[in-house]
Amino acid sequence: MKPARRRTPRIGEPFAAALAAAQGGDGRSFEQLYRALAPAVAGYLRLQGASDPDDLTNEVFLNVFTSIRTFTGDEERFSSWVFTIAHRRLTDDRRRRGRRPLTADGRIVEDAAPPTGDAEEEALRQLATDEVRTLADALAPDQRDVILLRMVGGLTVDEVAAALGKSPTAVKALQRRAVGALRRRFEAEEVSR
Amino acid sequence: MSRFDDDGNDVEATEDLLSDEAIEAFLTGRPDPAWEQHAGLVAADREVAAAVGGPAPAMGPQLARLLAGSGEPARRLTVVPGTPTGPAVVVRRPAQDRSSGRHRRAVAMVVGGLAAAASALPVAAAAQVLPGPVHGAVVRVLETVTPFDFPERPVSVPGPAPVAPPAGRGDGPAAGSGPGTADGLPSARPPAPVAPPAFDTAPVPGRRSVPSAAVPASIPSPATPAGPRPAGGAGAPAAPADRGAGPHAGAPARDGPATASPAPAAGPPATAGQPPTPPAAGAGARPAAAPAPAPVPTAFVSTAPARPTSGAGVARSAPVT
Repeated sequence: MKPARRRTPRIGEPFAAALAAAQGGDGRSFEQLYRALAPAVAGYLRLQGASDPDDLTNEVFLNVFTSIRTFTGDEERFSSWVFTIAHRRLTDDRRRRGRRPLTADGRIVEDAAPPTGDAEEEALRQLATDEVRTLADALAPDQRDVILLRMVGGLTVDEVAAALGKSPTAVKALQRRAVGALRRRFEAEEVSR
Repeated sequence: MSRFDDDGNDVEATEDLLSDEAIEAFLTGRPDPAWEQHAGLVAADREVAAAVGGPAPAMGPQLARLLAGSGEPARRLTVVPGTPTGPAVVVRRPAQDRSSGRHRRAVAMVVGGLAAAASALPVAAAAQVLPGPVHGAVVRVLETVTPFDFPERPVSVPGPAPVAPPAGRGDGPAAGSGPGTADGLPSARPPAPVAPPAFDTAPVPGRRSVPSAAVPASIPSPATPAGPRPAGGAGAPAAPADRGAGPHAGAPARDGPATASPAPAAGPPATAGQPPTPPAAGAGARPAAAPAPAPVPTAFVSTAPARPTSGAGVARSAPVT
């Protein structure tokens, strides 16, 4: 079987040492973990339509910071743990947004990705973000949650089932339909271009 | 149910194109021809990878502060979960919470103990339960800072215990108004003062005397038979025979005003059948010009009438067998 190509960046070998140091209160080691995972978390929140992805990302890592002593596991499990926290904070954000007044057109203005200094790269990322968000918006909310947690967060079926409070069988059914819908949408987009 | 979606695509045929393994490979990003042959999935994988790439968002000030001063994160933070009306709140607790709490409790205990001791000192001084030196020091301090007079600690005298009841207030000329002399006449001699007074009997303007409950009303002694005490007012009881005629006889009570004329014993005569009791001196009744009294043997107890000598020893009313 071919090795998995994770979409989220990985620390790799130094992860265990960085995690141990962060659990001991080393700020620099925690910042190393933050630098590795925060872009993916922010991207996940952005694709999910969070109102303020960067602020929410900081909130997620504040939670991670306070609970990191309780975590045990390898890097993949750590990533899944962080994305589970991110999804819970996203759920809180959605509840808050449900109580906020909307703009005149019924939408909430959302922040773009943070600037990188490279205008072309920023433009391409913004296009990709808009593309994926548009396609994700076409999915049912449950399907979108499953697809993004699996593709961006790298969670397993069981982890997604636990995070969403569903059975693994239900998650598999949701991901199958979601993948089919994505394929059709992207093929249609490719043809239209 | 139709096998076509809203766009006319064959849903069942599309989903059947991918096996579970191919879907798993696509979702995990693992290269696999089973899904890579579908242009739509390849485009989706590319877009997702591009959307989540890039730099990390700027660290918020709160997180940056925590990382800058991180020591023991789990102990310094308390996270209040988010609510539908507000975000999760991270409350920072000072690292010294527990130690400062213990410190405050210890300080409170010490302060409380000191306050209790300070409030108990006057009571203990009035009750004369403090050790001698401590009692003296406390009384001096209390008399300085309060308008009260505190009793001095009774002096323990070796030998026959004095029958010195409280000399009472320093009544000056009115002192010695107890019973008369053995012959029932007012004594012409100045009242014999009771050596060392049990109280600070000197009236000080603006001060109130604090009576001592610990001062015994009478102390039995070999020279004082048990029985009814002679009636008398302040300073009426007999003075100890071994002290009344000594060099201290006629000495006023502490701080008592010296008077040139002795105060006559104005009390009623002794009750018939009872031994006469010489007048007791009230404090401050010392005649300033009184001649030096003749020394009296300390063990001597006289039943004779009191000598007219001023400041003579007090005739003990107890019969000597």
